[in-house]
Amino acid sequence: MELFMQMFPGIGTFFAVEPAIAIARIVLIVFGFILAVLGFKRTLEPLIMVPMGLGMIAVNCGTMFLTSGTVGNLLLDPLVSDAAAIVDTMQINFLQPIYNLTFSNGLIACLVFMGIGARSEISFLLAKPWSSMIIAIFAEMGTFVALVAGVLAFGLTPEQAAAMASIGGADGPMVLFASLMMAPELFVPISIIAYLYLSLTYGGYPYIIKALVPKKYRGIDMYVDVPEVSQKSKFTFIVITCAVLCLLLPVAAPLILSFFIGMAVKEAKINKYTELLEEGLSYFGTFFLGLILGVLCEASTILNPTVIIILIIGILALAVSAIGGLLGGWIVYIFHRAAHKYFNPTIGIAGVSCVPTTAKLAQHAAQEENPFAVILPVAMGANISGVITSAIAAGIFVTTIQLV
Amino acid sequence: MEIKSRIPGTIVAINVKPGDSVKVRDNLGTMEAMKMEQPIPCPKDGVVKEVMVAPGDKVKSGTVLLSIE
Repeated sequence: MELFMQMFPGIGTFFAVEPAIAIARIVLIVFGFILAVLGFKRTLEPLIMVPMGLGMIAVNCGTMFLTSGTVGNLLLDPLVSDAAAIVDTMQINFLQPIYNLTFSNGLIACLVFMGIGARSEISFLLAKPWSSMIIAIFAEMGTFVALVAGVLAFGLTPEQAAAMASIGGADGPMVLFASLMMAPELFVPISIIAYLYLSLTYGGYPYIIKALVPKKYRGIDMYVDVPEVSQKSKFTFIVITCAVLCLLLPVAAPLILSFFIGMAVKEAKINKYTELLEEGLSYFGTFFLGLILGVLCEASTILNPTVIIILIIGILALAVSAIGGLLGGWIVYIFHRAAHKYFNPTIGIAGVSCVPTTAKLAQHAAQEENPFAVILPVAMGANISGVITSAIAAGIFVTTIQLV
Repeated sequence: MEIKSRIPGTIVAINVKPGDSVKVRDNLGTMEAMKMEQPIPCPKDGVVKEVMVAPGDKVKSGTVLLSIE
């Protein structure tokens, strides 16, 4: 038996740890398998779920006895915090450099954000700026409701509640950033659950749209003239907005800079950079994000009682944000009706800022009822507005939460 | 009647040629905008008169794609 455990430590370690952890390992291996398969089938976002699922499987299978006598793995140890120990660990664990140098400082989130910026078309936002902004503000509702619920119902500290509530902003990189700034001790579970949920929105939100927007309104078509804004004025707008937002929210400056630099290189027509951000860095970021998130799902890290609370607050935040966004959509609809113009309330969902998923969901929902409906440009405007609003909300949270 | 692009993007496919008779809601082609494929639905019954774009063309919003009569 002793020899067997030495020869196959992956199996042997099952008997060397507490039963709860051994069971959690098996559960997580199965769960990783399910995520990978659902990614393969495109039920969940494959770009995140395939690397995440494999990472989860590998970290929970590949457990061994370390020379120090403890049980661990050669992939990653998220709990090392002492500077000298980090340097030592980096020479052993292959994902440690990525984790310490790009993940825990938010760089990887910023790389993804640069790609989002390079994909965003600012003229959509300029087509209907007020509608976009109203919708985007309403779509932050989940963040605020979840923050209050977290403090009052679950007795969390305002920092912890705000970090969890940031899931309601529906922006992966933003959640990483907010939880690092406000509740680094919960960073690992919050970011895992956030990404899990964000890929679920793709499946869940269509039902919320159908529940809150009756059939005949979903098919409303709308003609908008995407204004032909000159490259020069778009570029100027981007540069000035970037400056103003950084001035107002220095804590969110890394995210703001990343997003706007992406848009700026696109408008400046530096095609090589646009390509680099859009096709290179953002995929590099997304790939390692998925892989690291998977590897972080290690049985002993994830067995944390707050995980249940994060699960509840996260889904509450995302659901309320969707409802808020659609409510904003209805309010804009009413304003348009009063002026005898058309507006499709489905666009409200796009205020929830996972670019471009929610804008596409709005377009799909409209197209399903009316093949002629083209609401994507307006939905993209609300989407981009949503990203900026989430960044502002995250910035405000991080700055003001210490004052509570 | 002219069928215009409603959104800036790239033409992926055109399924009809001049002389084809088309019905309302027929799929005349596909275009890609913001990494999403979109059908080009036919607004009314008729005959394709002219096709102004080819797959791979980049179009602005308002570009005339084809005409039907």
